[in-house]
Amino acid sequence: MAGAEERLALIEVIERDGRVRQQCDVRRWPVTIGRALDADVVLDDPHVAARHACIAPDEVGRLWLEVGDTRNGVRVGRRTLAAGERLAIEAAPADTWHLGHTRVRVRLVGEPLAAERALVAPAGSGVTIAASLLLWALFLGERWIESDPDAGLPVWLPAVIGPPLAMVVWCAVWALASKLFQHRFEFAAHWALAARWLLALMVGSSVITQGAVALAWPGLFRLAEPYEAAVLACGIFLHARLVLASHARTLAVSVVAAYAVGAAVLVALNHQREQPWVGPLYMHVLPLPHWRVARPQAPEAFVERARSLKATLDARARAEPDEADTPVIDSEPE
Amino acid sequence: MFRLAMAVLCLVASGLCRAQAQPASPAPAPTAEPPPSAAGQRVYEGARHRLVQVRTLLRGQDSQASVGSGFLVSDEGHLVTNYHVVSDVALQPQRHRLVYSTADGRHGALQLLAVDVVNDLALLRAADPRPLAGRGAFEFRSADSPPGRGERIFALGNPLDVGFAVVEGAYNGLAERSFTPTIFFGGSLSAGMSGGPALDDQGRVMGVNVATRRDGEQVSFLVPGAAAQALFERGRAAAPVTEPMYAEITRQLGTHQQRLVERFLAQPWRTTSHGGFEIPVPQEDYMRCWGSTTPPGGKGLEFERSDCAMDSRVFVSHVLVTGHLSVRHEAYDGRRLGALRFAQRYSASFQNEPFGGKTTQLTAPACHEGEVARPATAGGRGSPPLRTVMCLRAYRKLPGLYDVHVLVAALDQSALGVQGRFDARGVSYDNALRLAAHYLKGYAWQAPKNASR
Repeated sequence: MAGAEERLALIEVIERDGRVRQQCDVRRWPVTIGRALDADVVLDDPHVAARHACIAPDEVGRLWLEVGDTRNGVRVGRRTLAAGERLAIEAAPADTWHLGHTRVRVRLVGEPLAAERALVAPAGSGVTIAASLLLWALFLGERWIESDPDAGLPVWLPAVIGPPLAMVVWCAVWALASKLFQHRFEFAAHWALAARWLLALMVGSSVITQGAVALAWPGLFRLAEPYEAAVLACGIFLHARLVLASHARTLAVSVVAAYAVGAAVLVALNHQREQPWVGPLYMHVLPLPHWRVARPQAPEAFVERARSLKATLDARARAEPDEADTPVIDSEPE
Repeated sequence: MFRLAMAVLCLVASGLCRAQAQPASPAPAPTAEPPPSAAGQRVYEGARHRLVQVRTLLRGQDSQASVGSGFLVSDEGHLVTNYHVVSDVALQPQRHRLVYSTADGRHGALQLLAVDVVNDLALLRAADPRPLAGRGAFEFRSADSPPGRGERIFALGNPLDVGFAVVEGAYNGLAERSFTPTIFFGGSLSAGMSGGPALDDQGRVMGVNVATRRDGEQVSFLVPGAAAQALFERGRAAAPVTEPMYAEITRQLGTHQQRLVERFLAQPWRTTSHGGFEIPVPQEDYMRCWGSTTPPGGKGLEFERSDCAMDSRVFVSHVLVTGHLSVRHEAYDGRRLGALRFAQRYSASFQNEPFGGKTTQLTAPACHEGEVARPATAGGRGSPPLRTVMCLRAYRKLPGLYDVHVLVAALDQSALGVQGRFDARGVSYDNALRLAAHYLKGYAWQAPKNASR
């Protein structure tokens, strides 16, 4: 009969890294899954029973997952079904069945397919090359500014080679991680990511810093450090997502949580040390003369505004100092 | 930005160099002294039974926290010594106690009556004056007979806890550029002699041993006898101290800072110029200025540095020295570097400025920052724009006193610059603001060359 030959479903046994190890066509119901040789899908997991589970239709044609004679049961999502229990297939998300240590996915005919995922922009693309060259130019420019006018090869050589080398090492480590989990050495993809977020970090940070000093806005200046940390966190998230594509949501939650916890710890420490919550004590970068847009205040007006610090200082002075952070002599360093 | 290149300054009451015995840190080897003259022997014989060694002991155990000297100034057992010898008792009377021992082996407990932290003096009294009765008291030399330069002085005390001694030296007038009057004694004081008397050849008190210079030889300092006499007159009937003296010390520091600030603000700035404007430099009446510059032939940023600080500082405790001002600046010339390279170095120098952190004595700094410039008016020249950071710290145990730090950087030129810093320690909040404004107003555009100044 031609109808009996039609594929009704596909049962896939999935490795821990998400790759399919074994596929079984289903052309008739019921289907049994287990370690027994007469099971329709034979698993080699010692934590699986001979007839661990069965997928069978009821009278109205609705499919059910029925748990067989097993001590470990079947885990569906967060719920574990014991021997003898059953669950309608539509209530059992297809990719999260655990039988013993084995992950099984059932794909039914007519299920909607996820959209095709785009390839990560290849490293050869113009944007990546431009970003990489721009980054390199920024590093070299920084080095040029830091060096004295007649600096020779010993000063320049590390500057020329160092940043690209560091980038190669960074991307190689991530590519190795990709190799481990995805079985692909995705060096170019990681390079494309790294070039983008590093550029965002450097350019954004410079814009914030120079803008803050030109405007004389200390509040904006303090945002440079959180911004850099955020871009770094994003960068790490993007690399990690490339490595563990199937855990994007978990990764995102982890990175956001780590950022929030890190920020909270830093703020608490700064508060304990009586430092500003975020950023340095004062704006320590000076504006270029031609970029200044702030309007200066008269000395008397400036000093008068410092009067409001008295309340803060007096409140701190009244608080008992922590004897643990015993200090050095409060006199000039000699 | 500023690094002191000069020798370590150890002066009056700077806790780092008090002539106080710390057995663990021996004083530098004294220079060879001639044996005391006949006059010296006579003075010592007349004085030795009125000299005591003053020891601060930890309550509960008999180990000594510090050792100094003292001398009898009344028949009722009043003694004078240095404040820094007894500071532990003044600040933590519940944890420390004082005892004396005489050259003839008598011992007894001492009570602290009064202190003069600014002059580093303390008045004590024997709890039981009987063992000291009948010894007589030192007389103070009257102000009517001022000593002549070169007059012999005999400093007495118990150096390094090894025994009573007399050190002969010369009176050299008042130390120059000292805000608090201090006698320059040409002799070698050693640790442990702090608080001992310095006598003229008739055995009258001219001063109280207080400090020595580590980097000099035979350069030591005495508190003038008049200050000790005043403390005795003021405190002889006072009740013994049983509570920490922070309130009294705060009051004394408050008076000191008011006098210091009024005198400082009354002085016009001396000025030096760089890049077309004037930089404030303090008068050298009670400040000492040191200058330095980049070595010739440098290829990077060139600068000249001026560093002015007060020698007089007030010792409050082993972890707090206060009551002084300092003014510094660095003038940069980056024309060989170009604007971008200059800007990077100029910023790096501005970044490299410590304001201290949270300690047991002081709060962490709180800062106010912005750009400051004085507009030119009919009455005065304007000033270049200055990036200004003003940070203040409060004293935890001396309420009402603050440290103020003002950091400025001139912003008008792309390859020339000036960065300056003003620090005042232990001043009232109002005075901190007055000093900051005074300092900022010291910057001005230079007068045109043909104008008279």
